[in-house]
Order: sequence, then C-alpha cells, then structure tokens
Amino acid sequence: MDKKRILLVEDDQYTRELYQEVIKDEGYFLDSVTNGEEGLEKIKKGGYNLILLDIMMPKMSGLEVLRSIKNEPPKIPNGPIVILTNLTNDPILNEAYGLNARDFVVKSDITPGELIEKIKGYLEESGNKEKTKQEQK
Amino acid sequence: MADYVTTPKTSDTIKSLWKLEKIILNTLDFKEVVQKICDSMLSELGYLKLGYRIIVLTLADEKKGVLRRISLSQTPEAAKAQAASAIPFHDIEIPLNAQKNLLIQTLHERKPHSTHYWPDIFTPVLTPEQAIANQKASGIKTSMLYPVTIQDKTLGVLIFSMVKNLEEVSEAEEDLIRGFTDVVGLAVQNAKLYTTLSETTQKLDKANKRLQELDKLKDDFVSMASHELRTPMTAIKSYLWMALNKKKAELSEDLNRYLGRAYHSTERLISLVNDMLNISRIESGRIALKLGEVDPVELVHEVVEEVIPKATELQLNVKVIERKVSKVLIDKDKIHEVVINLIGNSLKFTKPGGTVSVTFDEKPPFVYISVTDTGVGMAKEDMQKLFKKFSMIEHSYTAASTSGGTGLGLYISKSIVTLHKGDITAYSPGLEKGSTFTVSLPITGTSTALELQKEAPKVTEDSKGLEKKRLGYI
Repeated sequence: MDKKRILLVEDDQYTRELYQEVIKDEGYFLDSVTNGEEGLEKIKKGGYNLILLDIMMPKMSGLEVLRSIKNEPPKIPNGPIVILTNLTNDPILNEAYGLNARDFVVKSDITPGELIEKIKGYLEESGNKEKTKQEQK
Repeated sequence: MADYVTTPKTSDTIKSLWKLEKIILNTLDFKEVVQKICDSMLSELGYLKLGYRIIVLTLADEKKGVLRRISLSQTPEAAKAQAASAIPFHDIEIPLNAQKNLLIQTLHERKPHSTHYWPDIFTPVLTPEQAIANQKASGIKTSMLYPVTIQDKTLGVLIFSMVKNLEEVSEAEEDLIRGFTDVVGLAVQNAKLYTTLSETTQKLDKANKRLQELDKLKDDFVSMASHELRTPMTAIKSYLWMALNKKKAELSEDLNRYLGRAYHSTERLISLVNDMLNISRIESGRIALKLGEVDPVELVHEVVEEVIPKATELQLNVKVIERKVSKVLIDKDKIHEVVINLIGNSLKFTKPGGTVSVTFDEKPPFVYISVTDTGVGMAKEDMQKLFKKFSMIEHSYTAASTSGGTGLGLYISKSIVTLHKGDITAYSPGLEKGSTFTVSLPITGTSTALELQKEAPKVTEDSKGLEKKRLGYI
C-alpha cells in the first residue's frame, strides 16, 4: 500500500522538526514547509491525505491559506486540513471551521503521542469516506 | 421729541414677566440662554419703544477673579458702541477687586446702581476718554446696573442702557426689570448646571469608551502573550515527552525522575496559562453562556467516564449515586469543566484506596450536585480561602506545589457557576476527614432560570470559550 502523504505547515523550527520526527517514525511520507505562502503552493499541487496547518505564520497566515483554497480549490484534491496552533481564540476558530477546516488542535494541550493518534484518526476517517465514495460509484 | 413712549401698563408687567420666563427657561444651552436674556426684553416685550437700547449680561469668574461680558443685545446702538471701543467688548475683563468700578460695587453690595457716566463701568480697563467715546457712539444717556443673584450667591450684573434719564423710568418698568433679573439668575444657574452636567456626561462617556478599549487591549495582549508562551512550552513539553516515551536511549532512574518532574512542571505551566486566559475572559465579561436544558445525572456520567482512567491509575473509586432530578438550564460545556475540576480536585487530594462519590439533591429553584471524597479534608478557617485566586492552603484543595494545581481552578469554577446564578460551597468535617463540594444549578422553568435566560452574557463577536482542562493532568 502507498505511504500516506502528509503536509506540515509550521514556522517554529523546534516544533516543526519534532513533529517531522514523530510523523516520519510512524512511516508516513511528510513534506514540511515554514510559512503559509510555501504551504499554499504545496496545497495547490494537491494529493496530500492530510494537511496540518499552523495559524500564526510569517508571509501568509493559516486563515489566509484556508481562504485562498476556498476561493480556488486545487485541481487535484487533498485530504482534510487540520489547524494545529497555540491560538485559542473563538472568533479565529469559528472562522477556520467556516473555511472548511476539519479540526482545531491546540499544540500545547497534546503530547506527540496524542498527535499521532489524532493523525491516525483523521486518515482513517477520510480513507473511509473515499471508500464509500468509490463504492457508490 | 423723544423717540420713546413712557410707562407700560402695570397690569402688563406680570404677563410680560411670564412671557420672558417662558422664553428664557425653555432653553438649556448656556450660549443660547445668555443671548436670549439680552434680546428678549428689547424685542419680545418692545422695550425698545421705551428707550432701552443695550442689555449686557456680565458674569463673575471666581477662578480668574474677573467680571466678564457674556452676552450683548443685538441692536444698532450696541454695534456702534462696540465699533468705537478701543478694546473689543469680549476682551474686557474687570478685576473683582476693582472697588471703584460701579459694576463691581453692584456685585458686592447686591444693590442696583445707575450712572450717566460710562467711565464708572469701564474703569480701570478703559481710560475715561475711551469710555466716553464709546458712550457717545452709542447715544446712551443712562445705564442701570442690577445684580444677578440666586439664593445667597451673586452671579454677575445685568446692564440696562437707555436713551432716557433715570427719572423717566416708571415704577412698572422697574418692577419688570427686577423680576426679569431674578429670572435671569435662575436661567443662568440652570444653564450652568446643565452645561456642567452634559460636560460631565461627555467626559464619563469618553472615559467609559477608553476603559472598554483598554479592556479589549488587555484581552488581546493576554491572548497574544499566551500564544507566545505556549510556543516554547509546547517545544519543551514535546521534547521532554520524547525523552521519556520514545526510549531511544535507556534512561537512568535519576534521569527519568528529573525529566519526569520537568515534564510535570511544564504541564503545570501550560495549565496556568490556560487558567489565566480563562480568568481574563471571565473578568472582562467575554465568556458567553450557550444555555440549554441538561440532565445533571447524564452530565455527571459523561464526566465520570472521562476521569475513570485517571482514577484507576490513582487506585481510587468513583461512584455516582443516581437519583432522578429535574433538568437544569446551563451551558453544558462550561459546567462540564466545573464538574471535571471538582472531581479532579477530589482525586488529587485523596489517597489510593479512597472513594470519590457524586450525589444529587433537589430543592427548587436548584439542583445540587455534590462531590464527596475520603481525602485530606481541611480546617474550618481554610474553607473561605478556597475560592480566592491563587489561594494556597497547606495540604488542601488548592495547594499547588506537589499537587500540580494552579490555585485558580476553584476560583474559575465558582465564577462560572455564579454566572449561572448558582453557587459552589465547600464543607469538611476537618483535616483528614474528607470533604464535600456542592454546586447548585438552576432548574429549567424556575424564575431563577428565566432570569438567567434574560441576563446571561450572550454570544457576541468578542465572546470566547473556556480553555479545556487537561485530563491527563489531574
């Protein structure tokens, strides 16, 4: 079976490298970029099974990335986008959900182990959806 | 031939006064009032025909120690006098201690005066020659000066200037002028009070807006600061977790303990940031309640299900003693946090083998949920301290050092329950004898619930939720 493809958009180097390590250790294929602009470029190319997107980033914020994708969805679709942030601000959270974010995870509240469990959950969920879609066809 | 007639009918005086009163007292704006004072008698009552030409209102400015011209009737004679004046009228300020000035004498003696000689009223600001020039230009023969008083205060002086001699002023005219001066005192006082009041209101409005802005700034700052704090804390916590859990190298027992305590402390720090955010939101009124009907027993079961793993790990029993009670009107997520906090506290302060039990009671308008444990309990004098911010009671329910609490949980819980018009109380028979925390929540449909529905903070653009309690960290 193909490796699941995950995109990580995170500007903080230590956090990014740590998540890279645990995600790769689980055997996933991982692309990681350090700001919203690069993130958007990758997302536009499509084909990721899961996208982990920070909010507060230089050049382009996570919300701006979400807005841009909503206005102009990529030709090759991606899996769910999960907001991975340390901001806990309801208006931002609500806007993110309005822009089709699948979930909102507060980094300081979870351990790397819990992040992996969550990733498995999102992938399984979107995998099941794919299956149902194909069966319906 | 004189260009004026004499003597209005005495019977008209009262009617005229009443008319003036109506004109002047109907206005509250200070500028408008003082202008009307100077114009109304001449134009509305036809005193021009009686030879009156200029009416001037002067008021004392106690702070600056001067008497100042406030308003002047709009007549050709007034304009001529102004045009002739060496110093513009509005710049003329007569010192309150200028004893020789007739205006000042009128003010201090609270008695009317009159003069044919304008230097009396312009000294020492204008020279006699300058004052005489003004008088000539205006054609005024006599000026009558009347003190404007209210109760025991003299506010200023009204000057009635006319093109006739004092002997030609009838008794009826004098009556009217006296009555008019009294009305002016009242009107000036009213207008002053009104102006002060509206100025104060404006200032308060401004201050209030500024406070709201500051509050928002504070909230934004706390929000940003906590985000900035969380970023490095996430890194510390995550790397410590890696060291402890990934077992890439075997850790010595000591190292395991060191890292474990560092990890534990980071968790504490993160909880503290979350709690401070919550307090900032509660205190600035940005916590909105999303009210709904909730079965308290069901809610407690949901919480207990969440805490069972932790309780098992701590070798503690959690029992729910069910009883059918009414539904309550609450924000479910927020009361969920409160119940987690109470059960979590009890778990924290009860030794292995102990029991935490949840019971229900009902006495309208409230349902009572009680969390009782067999833990460390507390002394009577400590019970009130419990719900204060950063209250730390030795070996007790808010102690921070080894228990890992933030000292804020009970304060936050109490604030949330109070928002719901309920309360949290604590009871313990004594140290080592366990304790009971009881939450009261309003029953749906009771008057308390209806009040809550009306008064509860509504969701707005500014409102925020609560930071969640970390379960792994009880």
